[in-house]
Amino acid sequence: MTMIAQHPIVVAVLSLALFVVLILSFVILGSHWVRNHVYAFALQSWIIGAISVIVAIWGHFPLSYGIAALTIVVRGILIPFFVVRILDRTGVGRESAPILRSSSAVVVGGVLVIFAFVISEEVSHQLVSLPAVAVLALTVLLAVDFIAFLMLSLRTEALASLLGLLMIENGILAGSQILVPGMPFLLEIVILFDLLIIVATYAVLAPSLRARTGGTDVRALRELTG
Amino acid sequence: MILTLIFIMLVVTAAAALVSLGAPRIVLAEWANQVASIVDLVLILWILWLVPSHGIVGVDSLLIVDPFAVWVLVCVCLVYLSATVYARGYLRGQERSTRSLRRFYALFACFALIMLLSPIQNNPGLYWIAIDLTTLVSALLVGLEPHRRATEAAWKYLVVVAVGLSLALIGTVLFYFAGTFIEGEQYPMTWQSFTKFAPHADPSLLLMAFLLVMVGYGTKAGLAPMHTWLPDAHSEGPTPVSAMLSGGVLNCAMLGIVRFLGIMRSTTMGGYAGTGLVILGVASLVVAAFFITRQRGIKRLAAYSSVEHMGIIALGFGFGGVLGTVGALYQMLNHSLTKSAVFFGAGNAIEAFGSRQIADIRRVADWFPVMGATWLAAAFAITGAPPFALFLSELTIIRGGLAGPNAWAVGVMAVALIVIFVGFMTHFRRMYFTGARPPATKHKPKGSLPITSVAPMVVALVVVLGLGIWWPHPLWVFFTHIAAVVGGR
Repeated sequence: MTMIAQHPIVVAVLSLALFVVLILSFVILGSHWVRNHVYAFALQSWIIGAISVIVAIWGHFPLSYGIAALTIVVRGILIPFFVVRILDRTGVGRESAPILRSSSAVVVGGVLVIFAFVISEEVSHQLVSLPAVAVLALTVLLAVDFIAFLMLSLRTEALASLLGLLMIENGILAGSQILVPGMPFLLEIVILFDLLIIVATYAVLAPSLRARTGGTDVRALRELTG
Repeated sequence: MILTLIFIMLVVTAAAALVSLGAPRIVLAEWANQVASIVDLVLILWILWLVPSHGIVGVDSLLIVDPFAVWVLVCVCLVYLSATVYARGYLRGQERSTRSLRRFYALFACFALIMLLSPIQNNPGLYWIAIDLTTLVSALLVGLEPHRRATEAAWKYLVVVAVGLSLALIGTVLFYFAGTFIEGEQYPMTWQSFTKFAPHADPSLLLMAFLLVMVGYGTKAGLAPMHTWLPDAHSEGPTPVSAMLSGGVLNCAMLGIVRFLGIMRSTTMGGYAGTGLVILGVASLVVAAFFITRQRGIKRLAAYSSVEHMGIIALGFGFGGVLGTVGALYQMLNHSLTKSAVFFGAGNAIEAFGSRQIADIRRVADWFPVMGATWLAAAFAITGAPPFALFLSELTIIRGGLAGPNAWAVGVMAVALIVIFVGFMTHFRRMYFTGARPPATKHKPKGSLPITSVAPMVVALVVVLGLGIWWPHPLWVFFTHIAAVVGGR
């Protein structure tokens, strides 16, 4: 992180990439077309892969090349491919009755970004040697995760909830690439593996959901209370 | 030697999963799981014997076999064995297809394998992954049950716990981040390195990281107010899975919180971290007391009792010191054994009476004298009544609480325990002593229970009774070694 912070152009490019990751979260939050969610998630993953490459070159963390390759292959290609296949099979298109309109959801998301920034600022006051790009990385990590939590609570379509879960991991990876580039490579590999398992678990549970509730709207799941 | 034994345990359990998957006859899958669970229990008891003299054993930064991990594994192996014995009669009685049984036993062994792996992870990140994998495998075990409520339970379980664990992951990243200011940008991610830098790291950043970790793993451990998945998943899954979730997974998740708490106790924020855990423990007891008194489902009743007991364990570790920690460790074992018996009894009652509702279960002891008496005794034990071991462990936790700065929580705990005792026993009084006597009952329960459905209950209860009368001194000494690391004060 300290090496990266010494190159103003690299910092500018990383900041731009982090902003794009955050904006793509808003694209996912604001759209009710599940297919758009998948494309935005894939693009987000490609940008995180690019962040890894930048960290590898200017931060001198050669293992980050591996993380970049895995991120692009698993998050940017394989997972979107599987999810699109599930979409095609199930015929899920648009959320029919969203809990909150797109505009309202985006406003709430904006408030969450401000909240994430306040937390990051507070942390940066405690740690005087923290570079600005690290504060931004922490803000994006928290903001993308808050938006993913919001998605999980607002989305009624099971597949959209699944993408919310995947977006949480993207937020963590995007931020941690800059905050803790030395974090063990093995961990990153297994987290990617974990993402694949989440998708596989969904693929197994979704048919039961459809067979027993007649669809994949999670609002039908209200039997268990008390 | 210890690592070889651990390796054998893992290989045997993995082999059980593979054999179950390809078993031509289901009896082979049953035996594979049973043999694996027996081997696991024998070996872990052997390790329990060896570990005090060998100290902490590890493989580079990957694995760690310390007394705490071994103790959690003892709880896991006991529940795995009793659950595999119980599963035989329980699943045969349900007339499932061979394919469904094969899938069940393979996933069940996988579930046990991941639980065996999680406590011995020396890398907090890999530990997180192991805990996450237990969620995914157990969600499948719950969700593949052939009814709508199970799908709902599995879905909620997956989403709620995944969100919780993501917070734990952020907390872990922030812990590592805090260390980069002392150890440099790249250092090994192990419990030892966290312990080494923690006293010198920024305390407020560490506290923030700990709170995230506590809420994250607290979600998996079923601590209120993040417990919402637990009653659903525990009640809708097959009974052997309910026992494994309650007696195994919850302890595995608690281990993560306690390891981080131990690290925090070496910093100036240790007191705040302990109080945070005490608050979650109190919240769990209050929530459990409220829902137990007004409960209508028998397995949900047992599930809320798990929330209660995880709350008590959280209180013990939160109080800290020798008494609090020792009491919490003893409570882990006692809860695992007793709760398995309570779940098995509930499973038997549901199968026999054809309903999950307490109102439909009547005159249990008249229909099933041995199982009924054992289940009633298990219910008595789970509420912390003497002479069973839970009474001893809860009393020790109370003593630990009174000696520390969070004595206020002991008062709340005492009131909640009384309410829970009254609520729990009221439900059991109705199930045992109200309703028409057997000959006049309109809907007669299904025939007699197989011995595999009753024997694990009897054995568990005898052990809990024995441990209530005699707390082995070597076990106390063993616990004090763990308390010296994670107990603080």
